[in-house]
Amino acid sequence: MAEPQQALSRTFPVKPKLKAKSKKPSKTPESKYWSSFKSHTIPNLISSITSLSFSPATPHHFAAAYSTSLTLFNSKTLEPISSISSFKDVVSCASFRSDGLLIAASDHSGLVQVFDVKTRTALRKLRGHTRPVRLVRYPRSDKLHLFSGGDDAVVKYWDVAAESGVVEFRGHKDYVRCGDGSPASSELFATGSYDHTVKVWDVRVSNSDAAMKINHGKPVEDVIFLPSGGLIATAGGNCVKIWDVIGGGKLLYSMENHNKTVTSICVGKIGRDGGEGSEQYRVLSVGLDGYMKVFDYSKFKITHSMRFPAPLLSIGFSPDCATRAIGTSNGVIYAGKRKVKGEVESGLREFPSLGLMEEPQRRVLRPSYFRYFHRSQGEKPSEGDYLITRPKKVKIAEHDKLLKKFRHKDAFVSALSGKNPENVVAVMEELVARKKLLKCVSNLDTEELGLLLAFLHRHSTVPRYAGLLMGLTKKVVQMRAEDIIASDVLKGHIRNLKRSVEEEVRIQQSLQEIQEARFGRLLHILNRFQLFCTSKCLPGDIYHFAVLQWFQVALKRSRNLRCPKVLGATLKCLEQLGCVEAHLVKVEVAMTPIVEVAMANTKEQLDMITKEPRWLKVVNLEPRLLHSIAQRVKLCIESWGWLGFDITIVPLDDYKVVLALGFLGKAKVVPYLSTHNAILVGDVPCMVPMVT
Amino acid sequence: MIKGGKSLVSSPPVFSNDAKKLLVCTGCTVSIFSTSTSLQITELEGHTALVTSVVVVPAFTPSSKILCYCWTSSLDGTVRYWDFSLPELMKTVDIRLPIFSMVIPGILSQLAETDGKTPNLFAYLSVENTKIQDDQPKVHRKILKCNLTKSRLAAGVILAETQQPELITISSSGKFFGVRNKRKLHVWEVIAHDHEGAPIKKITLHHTKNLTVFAFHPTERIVAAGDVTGRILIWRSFGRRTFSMGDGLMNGRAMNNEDERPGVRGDDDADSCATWHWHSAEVKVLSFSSDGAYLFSGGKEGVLVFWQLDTGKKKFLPRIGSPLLYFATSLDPSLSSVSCSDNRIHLLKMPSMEILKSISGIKLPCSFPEIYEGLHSRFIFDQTAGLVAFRTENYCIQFYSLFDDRENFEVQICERNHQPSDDVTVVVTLMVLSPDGSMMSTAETKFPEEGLGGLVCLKFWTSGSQSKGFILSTIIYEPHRDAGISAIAFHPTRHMAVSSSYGGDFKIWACSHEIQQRDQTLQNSGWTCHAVGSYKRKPMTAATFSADGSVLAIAAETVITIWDPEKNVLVAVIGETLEPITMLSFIGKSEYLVSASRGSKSQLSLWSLSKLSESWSYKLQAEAVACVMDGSYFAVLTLLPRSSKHTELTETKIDGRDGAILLFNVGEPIPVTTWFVKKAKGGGLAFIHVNSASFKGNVSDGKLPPALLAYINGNHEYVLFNPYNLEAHEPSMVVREKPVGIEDETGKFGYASIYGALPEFDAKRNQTELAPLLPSEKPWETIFCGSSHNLPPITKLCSAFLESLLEKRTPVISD
Repeated sequence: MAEPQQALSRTFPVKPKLKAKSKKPSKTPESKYWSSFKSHTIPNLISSITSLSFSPATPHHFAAAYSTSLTLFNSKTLEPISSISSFKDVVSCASFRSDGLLIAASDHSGLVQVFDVKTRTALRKLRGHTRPVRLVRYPRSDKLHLFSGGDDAVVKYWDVAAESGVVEFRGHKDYVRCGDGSPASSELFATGSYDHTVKVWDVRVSNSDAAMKINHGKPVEDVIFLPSGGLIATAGGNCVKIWDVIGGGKLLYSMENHNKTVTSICVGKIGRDGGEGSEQYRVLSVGLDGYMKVFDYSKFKITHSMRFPAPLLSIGFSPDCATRAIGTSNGVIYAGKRKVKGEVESGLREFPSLGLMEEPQRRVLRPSYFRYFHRSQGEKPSEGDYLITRPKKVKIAEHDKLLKKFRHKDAFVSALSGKNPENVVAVMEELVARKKLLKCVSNLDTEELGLLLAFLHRHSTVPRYAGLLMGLTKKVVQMRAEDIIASDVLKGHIRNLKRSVEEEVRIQQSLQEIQEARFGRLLHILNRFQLFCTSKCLPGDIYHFAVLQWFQVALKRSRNLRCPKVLGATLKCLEQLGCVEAHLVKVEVAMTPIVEVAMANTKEQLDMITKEPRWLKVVNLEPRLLHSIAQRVKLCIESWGWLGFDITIVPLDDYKVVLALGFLGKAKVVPYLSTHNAILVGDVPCMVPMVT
Repeated sequence: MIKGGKSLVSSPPVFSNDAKKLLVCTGCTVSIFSTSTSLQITELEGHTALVTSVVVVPAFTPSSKILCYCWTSSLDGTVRYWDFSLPELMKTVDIRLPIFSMVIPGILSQLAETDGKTPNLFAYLSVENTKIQDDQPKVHRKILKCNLTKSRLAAGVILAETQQPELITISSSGKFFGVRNKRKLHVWEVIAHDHEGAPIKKITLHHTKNLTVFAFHPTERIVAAGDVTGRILIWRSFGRRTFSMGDGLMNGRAMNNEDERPGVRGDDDADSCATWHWHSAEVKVLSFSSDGAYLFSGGKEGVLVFWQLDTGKKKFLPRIGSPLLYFATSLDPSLSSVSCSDNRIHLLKMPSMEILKSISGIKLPCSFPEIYEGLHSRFIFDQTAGLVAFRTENYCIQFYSLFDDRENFEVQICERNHQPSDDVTVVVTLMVLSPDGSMMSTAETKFPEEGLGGLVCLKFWTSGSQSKGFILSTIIYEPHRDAGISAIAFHPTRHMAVSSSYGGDFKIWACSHEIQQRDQTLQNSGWTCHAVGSYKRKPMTAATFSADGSVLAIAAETVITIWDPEKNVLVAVIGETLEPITMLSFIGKSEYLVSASRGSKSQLSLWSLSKLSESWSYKLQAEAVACVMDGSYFAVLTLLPRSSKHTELTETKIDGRDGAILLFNVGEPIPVTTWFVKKAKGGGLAFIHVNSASFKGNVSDGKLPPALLAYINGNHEYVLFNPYNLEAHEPSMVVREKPVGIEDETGKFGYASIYGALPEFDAKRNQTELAPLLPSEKPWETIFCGSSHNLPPITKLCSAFLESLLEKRTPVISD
């Protein structure tokens, strides 16, 4: 039997058509956790951020070393607190003492200094290194000593109070770049060097031989002990390796997911709110490719990956899991902080020794007192309570309210004056279903008609809406011709509209040409491509749709990039690069006066390469020099040959693909990577194996 | 045999005296529902035709409130008296005229009780005089008076004659009753001590529009009437001049303004007539509250309006979702009911106008604009769960349990607001359930406005938790560009479906189930296109999978194309029929394929896949085809051909039955069994698997049949019966016949196999075969059965009888 509330017919708000969802599986709880760090950018620091270190004591301030200064940031507000700038050269590394009261910093002049965090005065200056010092670190619990290493390949163990070196280790053959103290013992620490090795030293053994030697295989950029003390993670080249220290330096896993050099690694922790689920440690690594990756070293799996628009040099993660900071090569810190539940409680728990503060006496409330009548209203529900929630207030958009009242034109205008084109189209569709759209159009006054025409100008060629809007545009112009002629403003709108329609017509014409010329050849691939698209519930004419969409993206981006005025554009060729799995579509756009070759990644991020003389610009990245251009090259592939190719070799970030875009366009080659073949769509179609 | 799917809204429902029960006329029975649980308690069975009115004997003392007596009237010409608590039939009064409406004023007035001896009880009946022949152009619907105590009609009392059968309305005090007659309102006063020949005074109130409904005020002399334009007229102090002023209450007041009577038309006997106008269409519901302070009105908009009688102020209960038909108040002032045309009765909590419970019957057929010829998806059946599903007006699909005879759940297909008076612009054109009932697919079409904004949408649904309802899984906009979808079929075992379109292609969809997450959320279980195919760009009109899913058959207009669904390869083409095929189905696990086409040369054909040829075909208009999942039987619901030559004969013999169910064994072209059915147009047919739990109570011998055949007719009434048990008692809606073969056309050769059967020749043969089917065994039994007033004239009977005797030998000759 129907429920009573079901008996009445419900009201449904107007909803836009669903969009295709990305094929990517939705976020795992872990990647939700990692993306819950609300990003915050600290810009305008000078030069690259060489080191980021968090204070082990609450409130976990962090120190960022850049240029010749060391700045302390508040990890809650991400505001700078203080800055130490008494350095003569570039600061390379900084390390807090275990109580967070002192900080040691090294610079390129070879000096190691110990500062009071509060007063910022240099308490001790440790001189001994002859070359730039790259590493300085306090052991995990020892407050009296620290170790350092530098480009002189010497690792020194210092007695801080006496300002004198205790032991010197001369085992490394190249620059010492990194190191970390063991969490198990304060006498044990590891250092990494550009001689490809990581050495574990024991200060109790005074001979200069290392307790253990690990060969990473690449210059070591960073080394850390993992929290158990039994494992070491090393970073160098584009891989991060996990070693078993107890097991005699055995390689456990090599993570090679970065495309470029990994510059820094640190230990991150998944601090579950509420404490359930044991604390899980991860290795966070950043590299020059701009990616931060989270590595689960118990399962040897990348669990999260995040991209930043600059090469990354350093990373730090606060011990309370509330903040992570990433330093880039161009003076920006991408700090992220997340709300930690029970922040207040944990803050209180830090000062249990202060027994002076008495609990305030709870006053018995009497009816004579005003608060008596408000008592227990702010009470939080306890665990076992049954909560009766107030029914959620349904938010109804303005146009929905008006539609409910059958004020169709007002609803239409209300949607038009909103920002969201999806809503406008949804309202139009609803009006069509009520057979009221044309009536609404005929009732619009001049101003509202202007709104509509502006909307049509902006969106009528968007493929998602074109089916409805093109027809509507025609009707509007037919129906309201007289009003349009009467008003200058409307005439302007019509001129804009005409321009965009002409542009669309041109696109369609060239598409038609392409389709006629290439359709037969591309059929197979396009069929597969079509499958890929239909799976996302796109409308019927997939081929057109896909082509149009990517084309438009490319055009728009290039507009934003450099051409202030694009006089006209035609789509010259379109190919899908590689197989469906590669999700790459190559688009060549001929714009007067320049020709651009763009590459569109259909998967999610749209990377585009524009070809300026010898420079290459990828979206979101700085321009960089091309690897090489070979112009007017003669090419022979089997019986088929041609003179005059421009071969451009393009370094890509994500794909290990070296493709000559100009060649592909002119030679009419469709690479078909899954079979390691390329199809030549020339006069003699043939299939050519590719050398990989 | 299980019957069900009756209309709950054919007549107004009535509350019992204690307001704990609701008496609803459901076909030939009266169903009694509990108002607290809204479930059916019991049924009054006895009438043989539609029950048209129920009158509960009211209780005047608190002690008599538990008494449960009622009078019912029916189209079978009887008035019956029941004790509906037991339930038990106590008395039958046979009038022999179909009764459309009945009121009994006597039992409403307390006078009858206080009198020592029980006086005669009179009822006023609205009847149709069937005895008068059609050639007399006289009206023959009358209002008559009947003495219920002595079981006879009051001689010579004809109160009124009307064009249409009219509902008699009575005031709650029983003092007045009346009927509407076009633009007039006839009101009679019942005198206190009624006797058979007592003169009855009558007044007539006039209006300029056709009246639709009216109601009497419970205490004052006020009558409210609604008309077709949506106006409500309130006549105050009617009948002051004509009716005797026994009470004399209203007498003095209106005397002084004798000559000005605002709004009253002509010489009507009323003091004033006020008009209220809110409804935009005709008023269907009018009722006064029991204290007389409020007037309830409703109509096509599906909005119940509460008028304050003195001030004319309105309150609304909007969004009932369907046109209102009746409003019933109970003696409990906080409970009333409103009946909607979607076969639903809502119980209302009165002052707050809250819907307490709903009694939902099977959704009545509603007219959808048929955009594609011969679309074959009026009903879908869940064969294992015993559910039937069909489209409803408010963009829902109702799932109705055939075994329990009640609604299981409703699925909202389009998220749209439904207004009963709206033009239909969005239509659910297709719906298909997967064989295991876990997935559903629907197609909907939005009509364009002057060529703008049309949309075809394909949706896939998965069944929700506890098999209640369906959850939307995937929406595909314009799956075949702008072409309409002609058929959808599910793969029997895998998560795969095929949709074919009139645009000339079909697409195979596959569901990619990914790993189920820990928190039970199914991730990305979307349907994606797996393959596309077409055959000569011909419109694809029907599609089906074989029982093991290895073969996909798709009809490309007149030919059948056979595909391998996995590799999407065309395997074979079989053809061809005369008209485009609208329905295709594999028969169980056999190699046979049955196809049906519609149109002027409609055809039912059986194709053998092993021979890739047609086995046989009939010239039949198949309305529905049902196949047993694991057997070799299939049943076809066919419309009987309408031929001028045999109309008379057919109609008298078949008694309004316009269709036949033919049960075929796949091996033989001769039907195993034939049943004749009524209202076959728009009907559906399916084999329903019986699970022992739901059916135990209904099987007498304890042996379960393998499958029951469910037949649902055009009015959404259904019957389930065992098609294999030939000795089964005959269902009244379905008349079973001996298996006499419609002449088969086995193994056509030569001309016929190339060009199909010759249509004209065919038709003649079929007609001659069909007509004499009935009387072939014991014709006299069927001719003379039925009540005597229904019998055709002797002249007709005689010829039919003789003809049947002659016809008896013809089958021997044709053999």
